[in-house]
Amino acid sequence: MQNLSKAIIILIIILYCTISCNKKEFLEKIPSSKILIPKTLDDFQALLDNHAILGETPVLGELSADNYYLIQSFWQGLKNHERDVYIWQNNIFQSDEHIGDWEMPYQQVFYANVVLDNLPPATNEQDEAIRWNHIKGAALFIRAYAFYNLAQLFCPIFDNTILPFENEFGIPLPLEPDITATLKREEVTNTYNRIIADLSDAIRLLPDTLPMEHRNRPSKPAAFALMARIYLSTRFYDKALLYADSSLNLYSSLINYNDISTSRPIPFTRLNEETLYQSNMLSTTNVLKGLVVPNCIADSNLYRSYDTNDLRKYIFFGGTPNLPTLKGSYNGTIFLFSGLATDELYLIKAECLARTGNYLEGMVVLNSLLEKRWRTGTFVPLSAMDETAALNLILQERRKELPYRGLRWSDLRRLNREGFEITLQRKLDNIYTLPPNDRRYVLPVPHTVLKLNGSISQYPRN
Amino acid sequence: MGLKIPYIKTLAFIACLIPGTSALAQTVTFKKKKATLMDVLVAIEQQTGYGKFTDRAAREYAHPVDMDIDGEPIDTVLARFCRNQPLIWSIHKRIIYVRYDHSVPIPVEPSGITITGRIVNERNEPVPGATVTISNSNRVIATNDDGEFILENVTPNTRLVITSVNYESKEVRLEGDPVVNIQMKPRMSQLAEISVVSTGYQDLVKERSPGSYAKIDNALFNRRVSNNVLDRLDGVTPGMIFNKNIVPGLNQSSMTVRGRSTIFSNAEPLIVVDNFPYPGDVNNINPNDIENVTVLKDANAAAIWGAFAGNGVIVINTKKGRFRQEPQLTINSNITIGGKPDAYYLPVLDASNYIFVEQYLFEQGFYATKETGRVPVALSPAVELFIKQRDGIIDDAMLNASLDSLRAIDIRREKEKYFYRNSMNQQYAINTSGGGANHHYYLSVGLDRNLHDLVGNHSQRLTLNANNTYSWFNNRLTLHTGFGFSESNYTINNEGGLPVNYPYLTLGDNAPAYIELRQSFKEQVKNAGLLDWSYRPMEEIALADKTQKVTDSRVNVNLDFKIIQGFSARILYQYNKGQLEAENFHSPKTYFTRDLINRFTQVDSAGKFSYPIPKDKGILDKRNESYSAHNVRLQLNYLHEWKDKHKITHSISAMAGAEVRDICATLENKRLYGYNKETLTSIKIDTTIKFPQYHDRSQLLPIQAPSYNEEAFDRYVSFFMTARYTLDQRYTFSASVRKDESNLFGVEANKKGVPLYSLGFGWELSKEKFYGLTWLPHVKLRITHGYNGNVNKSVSAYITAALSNQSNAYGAPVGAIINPPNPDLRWEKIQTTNFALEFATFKNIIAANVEYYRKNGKDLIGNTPIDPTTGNLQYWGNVAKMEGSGLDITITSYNLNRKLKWQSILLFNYAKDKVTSYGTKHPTITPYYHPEQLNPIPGNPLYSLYSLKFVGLDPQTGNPIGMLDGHNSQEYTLIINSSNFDDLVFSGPANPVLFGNFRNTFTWKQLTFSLNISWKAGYYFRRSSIDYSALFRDESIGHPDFALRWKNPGDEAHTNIPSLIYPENPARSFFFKYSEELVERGDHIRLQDIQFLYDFNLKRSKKLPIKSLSIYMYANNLGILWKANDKGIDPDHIFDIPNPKSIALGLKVQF
Repeated sequence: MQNLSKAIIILIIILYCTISCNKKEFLEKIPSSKILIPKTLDDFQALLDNHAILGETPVLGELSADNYYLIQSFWQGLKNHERDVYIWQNNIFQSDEHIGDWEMPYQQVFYANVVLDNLPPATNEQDEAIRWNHIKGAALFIRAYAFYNLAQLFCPIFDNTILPFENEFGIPLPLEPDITATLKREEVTNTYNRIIADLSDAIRLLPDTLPMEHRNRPSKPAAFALMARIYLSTRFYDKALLYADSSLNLYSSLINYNDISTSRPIPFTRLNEETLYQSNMLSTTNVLKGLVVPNCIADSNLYRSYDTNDLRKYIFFGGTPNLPTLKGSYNGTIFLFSGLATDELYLIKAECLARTGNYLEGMVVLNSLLEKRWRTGTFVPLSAMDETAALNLILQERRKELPYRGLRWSDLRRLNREGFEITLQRKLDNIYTLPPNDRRYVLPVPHTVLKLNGSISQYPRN
Repeated sequence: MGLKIPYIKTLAFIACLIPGTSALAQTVTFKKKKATLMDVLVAIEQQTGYGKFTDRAAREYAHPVDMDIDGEPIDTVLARFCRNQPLIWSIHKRIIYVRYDHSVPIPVEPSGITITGRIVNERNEPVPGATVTISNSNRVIATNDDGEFILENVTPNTRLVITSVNYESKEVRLEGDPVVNIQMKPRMSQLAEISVVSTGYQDLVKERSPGSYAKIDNALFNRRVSNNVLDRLDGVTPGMIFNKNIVPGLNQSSMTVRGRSTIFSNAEPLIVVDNFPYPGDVNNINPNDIENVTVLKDANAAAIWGAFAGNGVIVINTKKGRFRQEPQLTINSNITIGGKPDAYYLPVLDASNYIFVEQYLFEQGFYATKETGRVPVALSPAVELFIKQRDGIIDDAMLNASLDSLRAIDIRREKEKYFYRNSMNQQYAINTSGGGANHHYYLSVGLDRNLHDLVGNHSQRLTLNANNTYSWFNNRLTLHTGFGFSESNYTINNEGGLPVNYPYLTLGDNAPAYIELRQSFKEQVKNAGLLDWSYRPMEEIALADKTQKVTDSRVNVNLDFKIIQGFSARILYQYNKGQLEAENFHSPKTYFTRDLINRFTQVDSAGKFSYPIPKDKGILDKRNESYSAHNVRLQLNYLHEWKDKHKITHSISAMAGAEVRDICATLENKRLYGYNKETLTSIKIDTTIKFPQYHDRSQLLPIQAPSYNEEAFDRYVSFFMTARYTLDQRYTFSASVRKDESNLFGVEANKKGVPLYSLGFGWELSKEKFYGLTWLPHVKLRITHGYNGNVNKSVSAYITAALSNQSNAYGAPVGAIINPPNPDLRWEKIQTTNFALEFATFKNIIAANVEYYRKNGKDLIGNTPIDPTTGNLQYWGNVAKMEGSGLDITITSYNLNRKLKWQSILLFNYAKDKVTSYGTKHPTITPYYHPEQLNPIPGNPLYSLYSLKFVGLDPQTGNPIGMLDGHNSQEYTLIINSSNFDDLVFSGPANPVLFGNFRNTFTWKQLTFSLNISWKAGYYFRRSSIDYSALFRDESIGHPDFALRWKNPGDEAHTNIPSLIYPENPARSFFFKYSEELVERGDHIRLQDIQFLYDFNLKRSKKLPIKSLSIYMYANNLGILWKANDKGIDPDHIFDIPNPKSIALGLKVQF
């Protein structure tokens, strides 16, 4: 009996100690096979490959632009803010709680910040170090891309002539994944400085070659292309030329549109030859989509401007000649492509050459693009008498090559600065107009944001 | 022997009544050798007429005396007899009193033996605290918590008198046997019986713990006939409500103990089966194997479960044998017949009106886009007729005749006839138990066969239970082993719904239902060589082959060891394993398979068909879920009682220990194509190729073959300690501490665990010397205070990502951030204070237990909208606080206690919760009245019904009028998305604030009849009405309110149902759906059930080998007696059909 007592007491003590000693290890088991704390490069790559989030870009700019019009009855059934933005209402965010145009890019910034914040220190191991660079570069690229897309909607246009008043209305720039931070509008100058800085860092880290099977992943050609787009929109044409050229030096393939089916509803695949970086306009929109929106009609002037031998007329548009509708684009889905592609770089290069006194060379670049767009054997190279004529031709072709790519709004903003005097008009029950350089070219911050963040100020749109 | 005292008393009493028989001599003449006291007194009485009164001790201990008296006075005679005897005598008012002189010690009889005994009640449960008195002596001892007692040095043939508050006194003569087992009968008038409650760690005498416990004993537990354990607690457990109308996604719990105290964390009470939390489905447990259930309600009672106890704890104990118990065999069998579900309960728009709407829409051109669209989407039979008439295929007369035959169909009648049936549940349970001095056992087998009320569905459950207990070294070492197994097989061939909404669908004639694609298209492609594409609802039920097999096993090994006096140690281990295997085999004949094959059918340029999904073969969907759990507990108990003579003056009992739990769950999903059920073979499918769909060539889809694996791990380490101190049997102090740690995902602060404590104090006021209320002999006060916790594994302090099962469009794995970093994360805590008063009147005629509690939920996890600029739309964190308070009142009264006994039990519960703080408000009112989102507003209950102001109908248009910023408005889009919170109406709590039961039990001879009435009050619900938006879009079967709609100006005086308009305005429908017009009061009273029980008295027929035999009848869901709404809605069933009435008949035999 005595021995039994002892034995049992000893057993209890042993068991108790076992529990206490192995507790830490025992409790470290991750509760589900589904979840993890991102630690490895694979984990971060998986986050950056979340294309459903990282591949979406704002749509409100394109919705505000002049490449399409809507049938009244269809317009009436739209989400409130899409309906209001179509006619450039002052207060477009009356009642819709979630505005993806603000929320999505900031979610992308959050993903990028999570990666940047949690990425382990760089290793010396060759392969790992290269991958580490690519991941960090990709995160920086994504942040820059998101900030830039936001700036096109919510900031006044930034160029050499920005006024101090306008400069106050940059966007908030969260640089850490901190959900408790109070974010304020930064200056527009700072906004662009940050975008350029992030992108410059990204360029140093990203791979030189295009990831042919993963066009959702940033690369050096894509980063150069984005830089070119940014400098073009801010009217630093010499720098835009430099970066467009850098990108084209690394990758300059063009698709010959004669190889593309004109009958297929979605003519291109997501891995098409021209795409440098895949993204699409918000898939939540009810307006700008390929195929499925029969009441969203291409602008008549735009549609009429294509030559009958210009294949883009058949590849970009469906519907009937009277009511041409949109088709699938470089995204390879019904969602509209908003990413970076070589055709845009040809046009940036051509425009910047023309603007920097090299209009003849610019026309050569333009023609090399257009050659691939016309039916084989029908294309006669365009020529221009002088710089202005060349610029006008290039800008016209820019609009014809890049409709519904999310670029028109930025172009309207910058071209009106230069005196192009483009007035937009909508015809519904009433006629609505948007004069050049109107304050409504800066979109308001969604009211959900204003209610939840008292330190964000609203740009006075009227 | 037992009759003697009242007999003598009666005599004395009669003697007193006849003082007039006087003229008798005052002297006595008496002569007898060895005369007893009674001999003497009887003689005096006869000769003098004086009455006599003696106590028992006097009679027992008076020695016989040789008496020879001749005409001497009474006092001389008495003095003579009492000389040298421990007797005191006196005469008062012509009555002689002879008492035993207690100042003289009772001689201890030598050569006594030691007896051990055990007192049990009629259910073989131990009776602790019973008083065992040796007859003729003042030796008294109380039984311990196991109902056991030891008496040393007792005369072999002495008698024992056992008394206990709740049981009838019993006298037992010892027949020289050193071991006695005594069974007590409960008194009819029992208060809160002396009951042993189980916390899952300890068995406690309820009277000696200040905590709040609700015990459902075996008789009450078996009052209801059901195959589910928890069902049987409904309507009989104070403070507990079973929630109805559960909407997925709102984190509603199936039951609530004392109101709600969490928002998004686990809201279900913890269920403990045989000492450990039960990780399986409680449906696996056979109620026939359950001995009793204890519900731990307040902080003190539940504190021992720490962070798991925030929602209360339900402790279930299975049956076990007893030491020294005769073998017994019990057979229980019953059959329950349930009514057909009421097909007419849920609102339906009748066929005539439905066709009227379709015709109206057709005339407006509503179906044109569907008709001419790229994909031939289904149109209803009536619309097809309109098209045919328009196209001249049929004439007007033909149209009208066809429409008339459609109008004659009523889907409800069809469903009643073909879809529903009476349910029938059969239950068989056999158990045997028994025990010797060192071993006891229990063995049971149970079988339940259920035929469900949906045609095509049935289930069966087999349960096995066995446990054995062995003891050695004079009970110092006890080993208990238990094993439980259950296997349930479910066949679910009828999902309960129909895939179409038009109310003129026939079921009996196997006519096709027009679903998904146009019937004309389906017929046309059938001719082209595709498989038959029609869907016939009843045929599908007949072809369906969907089964679920659930197996569950439980193994217990407990070792108890009494180390030294007062100290004992326990090691407990439990292993649980459960598995669910679900198979849904879609045979080649099923619509599911035919449809999928057709959709993927490819036609080559020569018109030849090929089938990417194997033709003439089936498709199998398989799901496997399993879990296994290890539980280990070490526990050290200490008990010490300080005795003064034979009374316990004070006692201390303490327990401390540690526990480890490790639960692993797995989930596996897969689909097999080309499955052959006989050979179990399948065909591998390439899921990467995209095929154009037959009905829509532009749609390219891969074949879906989901394959999915998941594992989850729950690990806990807990340390606990509890102690109770009782002074003078009047004051009880209780305290406990527990710390839980878990593998909460990488939470540094949390990893240290959460220490939770509780304190309690009980005071039995009626035992105080100054207490003098004889009519109220029992009064007790109890106060407890402490913390419980709640577990939420969905949040983490670290950034958490999830890897998706699907790769992105480029074939790379995808990660998503599911939890932003939240370094401030803490465990939820619920502070509870409980005040209880219990009292009982004389003879327990009325006994009451009144408890008032306050709950304070702190650091509750909530989600609050945050600035989207942070990259997150919401923040999950400890942003919320809740308060709750309530009353649990139980009143038991014995209205009649004669041949007919009548007992009433009233349960009255009040439970109100309030969210006191909750992060940031949403910018618009929409998320608050939306029924599928849980967004509390501080100041109101968590589940509140919000609605939109409704002014009436526009007299010109019949449009509903709402309010926007305080003004009448028909701007529905702005109204439903208003950011002005004055436009939101708080209609009231969505859950009952007041609820309870009134149970009356009548007993006459062997017949018991009981009836339970339940009620709920103080809450509101939203009823359905006509929703034009859903009706037009074929998402709803409509609502009879359509007939009441506004049609002409003036109608607004007697109706609030908006007019029919075209085109439909979704915001207008949405507004009306959530307007206050459709809010109803939920208050109602229901006759829940009645029970008849007849116990055959078998004492007279001892030849039968049967110990007891009873038959019972139980009728359930008897109906609503009163309700506040006049719309015919059972507030417990707003969107489903109420449970049909059912009647059960059963038989229980004990051998």
